[in-house]
Amino acid sequence: MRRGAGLIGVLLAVLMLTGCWSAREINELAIVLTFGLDLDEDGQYIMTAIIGNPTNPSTAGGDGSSSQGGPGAWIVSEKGDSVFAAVRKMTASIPRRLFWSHAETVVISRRLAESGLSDVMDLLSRDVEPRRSMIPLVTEGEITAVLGAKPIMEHWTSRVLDGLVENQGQHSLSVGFDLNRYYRNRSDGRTASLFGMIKAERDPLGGFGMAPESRIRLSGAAVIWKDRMVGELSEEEARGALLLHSKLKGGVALIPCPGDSEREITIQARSAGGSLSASMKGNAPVGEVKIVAEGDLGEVHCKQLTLTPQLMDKLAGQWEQRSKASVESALTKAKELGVDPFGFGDAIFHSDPRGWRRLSARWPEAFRTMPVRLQVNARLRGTHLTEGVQPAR
Amino acid sequence: MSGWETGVRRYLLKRKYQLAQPLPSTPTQSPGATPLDPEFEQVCTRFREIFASCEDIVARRLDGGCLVLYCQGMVDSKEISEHLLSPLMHLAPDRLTHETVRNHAVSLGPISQAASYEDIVAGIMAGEVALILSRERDALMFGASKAKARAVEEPASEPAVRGPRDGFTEERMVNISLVRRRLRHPAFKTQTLYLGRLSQTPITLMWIEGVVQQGVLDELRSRLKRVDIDLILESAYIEEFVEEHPWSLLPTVNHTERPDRVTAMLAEGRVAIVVDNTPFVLIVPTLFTDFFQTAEDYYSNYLQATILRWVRIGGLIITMVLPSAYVALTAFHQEILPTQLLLSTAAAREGVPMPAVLEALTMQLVFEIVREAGVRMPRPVGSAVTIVGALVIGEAAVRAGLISAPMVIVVSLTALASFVLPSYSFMLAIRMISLAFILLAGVFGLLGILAGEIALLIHLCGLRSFGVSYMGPLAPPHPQAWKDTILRLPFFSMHKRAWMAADDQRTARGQKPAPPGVDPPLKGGKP
Repeated sequence: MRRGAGLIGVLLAVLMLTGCWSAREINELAIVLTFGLDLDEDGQYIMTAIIGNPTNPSTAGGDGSSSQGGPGAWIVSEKGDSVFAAVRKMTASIPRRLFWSHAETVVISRRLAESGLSDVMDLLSRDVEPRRSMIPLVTEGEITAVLGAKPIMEHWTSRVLDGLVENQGQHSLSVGFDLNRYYRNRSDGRTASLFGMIKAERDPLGGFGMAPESRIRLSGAAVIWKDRMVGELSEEEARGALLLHSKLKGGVALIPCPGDSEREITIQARSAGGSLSASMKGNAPVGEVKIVAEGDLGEVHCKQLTLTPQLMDKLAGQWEQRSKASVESALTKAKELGVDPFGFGDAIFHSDPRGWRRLSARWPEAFRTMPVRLQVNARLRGTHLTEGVQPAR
Repeated sequence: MSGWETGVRRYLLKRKYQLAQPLPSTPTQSPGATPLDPEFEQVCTRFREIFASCEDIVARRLDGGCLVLYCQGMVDSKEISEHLLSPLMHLAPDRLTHETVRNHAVSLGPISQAASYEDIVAGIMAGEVALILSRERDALMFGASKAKARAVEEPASEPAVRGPRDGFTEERMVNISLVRRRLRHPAFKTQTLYLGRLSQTPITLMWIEGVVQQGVLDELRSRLKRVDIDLILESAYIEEFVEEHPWSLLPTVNHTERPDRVTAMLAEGRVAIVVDNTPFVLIVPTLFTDFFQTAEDYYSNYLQATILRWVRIGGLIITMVLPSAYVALTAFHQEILPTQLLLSTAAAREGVPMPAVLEALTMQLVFEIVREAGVRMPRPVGSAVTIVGALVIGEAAVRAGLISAPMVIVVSLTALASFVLPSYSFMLAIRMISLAFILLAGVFGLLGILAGEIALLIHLCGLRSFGVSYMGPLAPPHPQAWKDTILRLPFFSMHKRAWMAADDQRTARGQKPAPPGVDPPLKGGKP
């Protein structure tokens, strides 16, 4: 036993001889906060990364000393025939080791998305550092317009992007699916992916001269079939897609006042859940969607409104119609594009594998004509704190 | 390799020197070996030889064949001259017999008889007065000890907000009496041994008959019997002899200054060892969980006590793992940190010349220095340590960019957490282990810490204290005992004695306070 203990001691000493192998001190890292991928006219990839400037945000000079990407960040850009080549070229100008694990979003230009993502996603899925939980965002314009925007409220533009995606449920006008879902969809070949769309825009109200000139905003979703962007969902359609995915967490819908179509009631969605299924009727697929939505009365502009349970039911019915319209618009758009970003194909695959075998060859096309039975069940829960409804002015 | 190992073992275990013979005229460990000589003159000569150059031994020879021996300073001289010497001088020489002295002349306290040189010498050393009469074969020993004892004070190392304020002193008999006051039952037993070739230190075992497991007691006695050492100045000397795992960093024998704690431990079936001249009483067997419990747990609300126990366990985990986890996270696993934290940590480490592992080891070392300095430094200069520690090491080192601020935070938090642990020796052990963890973290990252923890756990589970598993009642599990281990449930819910006790059955049940009796219904609604 003594001998064994000695042996272990010697082994331990030998292990220690390796030193701090693969240790990388925190202050020797160039921490990539987010990055963008673009394609130039010559077919070269452009990698743009925001690298965090390790400063304590609480003591860093405020927004006075602002630069692109935020007060504590640098933007580095490089071109290459492959993404990895661009990254490696980038390292030639950075004195530290690039560290990718902290990028929570990746911004992709529409140009690149339309020409095919396979090549760039290969590196992201193959390398150990980029996370699979990264949120891909597609931007219409220039990458630098998004990454270079002056951050609002946060210290880094990357934090703004993360925050926008995280709080997307407040408005439900876009989607926030991660790369992991993309990889899954990509490999099973049944479902199209939805990426959030982001754009840099001017504040329409001008920000009263106090807001930065440009801001970034989530709006709509890009539809990615296989590795290509094939179309775009508007904000309304994106909400329909969220409903179909049971991912709706908020957002408002307007319905007309009873007996007064000029004025509106704003309903705030609380949550929506449901089921999406599909089956084979003979040779044709049939989809079925049941959605249960719950919401509150958010804002009421009606002249006269006496809330009775009957009226609440009626309002709920109107909201139902409204939600149905969103879902239908999303369905219609997807059918137009001829791809299925909602998972009907997947539902058939799981419930009826044999049927799927017959269907798979003509799948996305069959989706164009697939009937979908849509059932929305909306419930209005709360009226908030107002005791009696106040007559409008 | 085995040659090298044998060498080490020989070095560690070999006796440096062997006392070939007992020291001249030293009472050996077999009392009563040398009976008194029959001739009074011979006896006197013999004692003169024994106590040659012992200037504190007073020998008064009175007319009529009477020798009084005592140790100056250990006895009350005034008492002796009044109640022993003076009556003896007034006695006619022919009345100098035990019978007269005992019954008519001397009014000094407890009287015993001693028949051998060894016993007499031992008695004198313990503060007794020896009276040897030429007409008698035996000596009379009078207890007149006047030890310069410290008063019973609040224990410095284990203060309590609520609870008794008395602590053990250096006086063994006082200590025993402090426990006896709490255990007014004849089942509370004691046994005294004398250990130490030179020091002949009295060591008293305390236990409760019927509660203690006989095996533990027998084992302790047999281990104590093997102790052969010159001096026993503190109970730690014994500790190392009776421990099952003396090579382990973790203490398997606990010590305390609080009589209430000792009493509670005795009632759990443990044995306490009181060593003369030290206020620290040893308790065996000792378990890992003992180091998270304080006497005060039982004097406060059970929920508060339970949560405080968890806080201590949290303190243990922080002490052991926090610095190494910091090293592992900043040098290997930056993915785990939130981005914001990563960037501010990186900012703080900007320009720090040392890698995190060296930084952590240095700072831990610096803290050890400050702590040790604080303990060793004479009281009046104590504040200097604080200033130097806080200002120079904390503030200036960070300003100068030698040490990063988060490292200082980590080290200070670790230091604070370590002082949550009630036992100083246990805390030191954990701190030492944490140093090893830092090294492992610096080499292997979190994997290293994990490996270290597993090794530690295996070691802990293998430890025993007097045959009781060190990790008990957690491993092997004794769910009944958890009521007073990780939890501290109300007393009325603890139906059984501690699982370690020999008799674990007896405790009254049904003592939970009932709701106050329902008042008879009011008639007619009148109050």
